Amino acid sequence: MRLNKLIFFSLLTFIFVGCTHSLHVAHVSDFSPTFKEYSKGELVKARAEQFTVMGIVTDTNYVNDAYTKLLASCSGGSIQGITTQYSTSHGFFSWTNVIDMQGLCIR
Amino acid sequence: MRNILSLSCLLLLCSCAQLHHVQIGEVASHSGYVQKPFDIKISESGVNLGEAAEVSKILLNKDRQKDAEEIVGLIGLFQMGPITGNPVYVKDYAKNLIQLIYEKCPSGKVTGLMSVRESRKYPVVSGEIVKVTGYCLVRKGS
Repeated sequence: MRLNKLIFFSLLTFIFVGCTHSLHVAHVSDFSPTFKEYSKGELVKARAEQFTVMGIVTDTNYVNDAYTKLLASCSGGSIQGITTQYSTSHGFFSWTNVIDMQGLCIR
Repeated sequence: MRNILSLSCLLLLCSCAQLHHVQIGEVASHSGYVQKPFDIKISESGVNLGEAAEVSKILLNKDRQKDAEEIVGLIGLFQMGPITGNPVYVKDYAKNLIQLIYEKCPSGKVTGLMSVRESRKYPVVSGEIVKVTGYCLVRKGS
């Protein structure tokens, strides 16, 4: 009986101890003034992360990094429909904040 | 049987929506075009283990209640960090947002976008929702 209980709760713990994530913000920017079709542009992406242990942060400039990467991936063009997602991946006494940006580069 | 009935009533009656973030973009109108509304909803299941432990008190005996609380405490150590709504087990579930907008409006003439991040909460579980509404500019008469 004791063994069954142990197996049951071990199984339950194993099922729920997965990586969890939390999406805080999802935003889509304007498509103007370019208003182009998907096939007329190129999908550009930029992602940056900030690892945090017990509230002690590592990279405090990660949002700017993602922004700079996005701009660099479409130099000389315009970016329409930029989706910005800010999320956190949870871990053992630590977590990772993630900024993910995507947009359609029109040249 | 009574416990299951109580739990079912609880699940049916206790639900609510919670807004976390909303933002609106530029609203443009062009002569010769009409605004056709569209909306996109992406949802993922969230789980609140703290509430699960509370609900387990109705269903389990005292020994098991204590075990359940210990398990939730243990799992909590592996799920630390800022949370909006309830945590989900799927990463980047809203990553195809731009493709979904183009499915609704292939011309790309999109205006009046409103991005909403909200939760539809039920006991223990929730729907973690990203909703985008907007208008597709369609040429008059087409």
